Amino acid sequence: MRLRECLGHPVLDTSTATTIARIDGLVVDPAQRRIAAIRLRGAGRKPIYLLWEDLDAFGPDAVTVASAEVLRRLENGALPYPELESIGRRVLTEAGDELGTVEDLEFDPSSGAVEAVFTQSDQIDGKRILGLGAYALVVAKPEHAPVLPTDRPPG
Amino acid sequence: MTLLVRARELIGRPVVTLGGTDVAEVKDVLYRVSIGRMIGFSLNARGFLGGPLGTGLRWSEVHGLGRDAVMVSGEEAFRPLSELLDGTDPGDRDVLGDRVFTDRGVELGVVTDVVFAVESQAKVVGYEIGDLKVRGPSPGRKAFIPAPDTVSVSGEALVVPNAATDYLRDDLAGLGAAVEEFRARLRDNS
Repeated sequence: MRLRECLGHPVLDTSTATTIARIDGLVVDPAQRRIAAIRLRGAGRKPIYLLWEDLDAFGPDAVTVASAEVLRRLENGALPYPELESIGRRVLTEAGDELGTVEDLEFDPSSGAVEAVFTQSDQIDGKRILGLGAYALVVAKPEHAPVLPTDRPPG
Repeated sequence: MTLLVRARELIGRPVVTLGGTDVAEVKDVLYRVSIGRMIGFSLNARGFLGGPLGTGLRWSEVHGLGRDAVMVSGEEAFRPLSELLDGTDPGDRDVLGDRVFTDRGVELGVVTDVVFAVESQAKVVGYEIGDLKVRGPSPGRKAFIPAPDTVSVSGEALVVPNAATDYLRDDLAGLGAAVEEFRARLRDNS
């Protein structure tokens, strides 16, 4: 599933069959290299979030939740990582070279794992993500991609 | 092919953590020309009003030096500047503007930049000479010259082996090859 593809998709409360919000953006946890939360457009000025573990399914056309109560109105700093927009973020390698800016992300809709980062010139394996900060998304050199205990074995 | 960088092109380069935050920028490149080594960088704060932080980053703490940034694991790698400069001599650290002479007494010009080979150690491999007083590789009055591992330097002048004048080049790629040939020649002559 691509980030750009799912922007604007509805979040469906399956108990009432109603749309309770729409996807405004995705929050990446760089340490786990996965989508940690969905930022939603709804009523009011403070952003509302849906944590990945609180959703039922991330389908091709809508995200489903069992009830509207799982949506959270989180204060700044409530997430343990910066809530930074990925799209447009400068991409920098650990060697100090820029690879353009993030144009899109590919993620696994069942696990939330970020599978690829797309820039103007490159497609970068999600396993290479080292950090996400205000200045840049930092990626490892291809041969240095750190392996997490949660990574599936290849094949 | 080892990456060659000029000290002056590093000034202002952002210093970025692996977490993606720009925590400083390069103020000056610190080196000791007499032993041909880079010590590290002194640091300025980022931004329009950024001034000296009074801290520096040792070369051994640099995670990566690329076209666009100096990468560090984190700000804990920064040290008080005095710690990095301890035991070094100002004349050894600031050669820009020094006159360059060969050991045969020929004046070549003035140092306008210092060139490093970037590896696990960052070594001084050459200089850019301006106001060239000898015939250079191109019509301009600048050239790159390879340096041996050690040079004699005071606060005002630098002395290079006469053989180096056979290896003047007009770009860094040319200098890279010239450094290898020049050093092989010094080994053969000794």
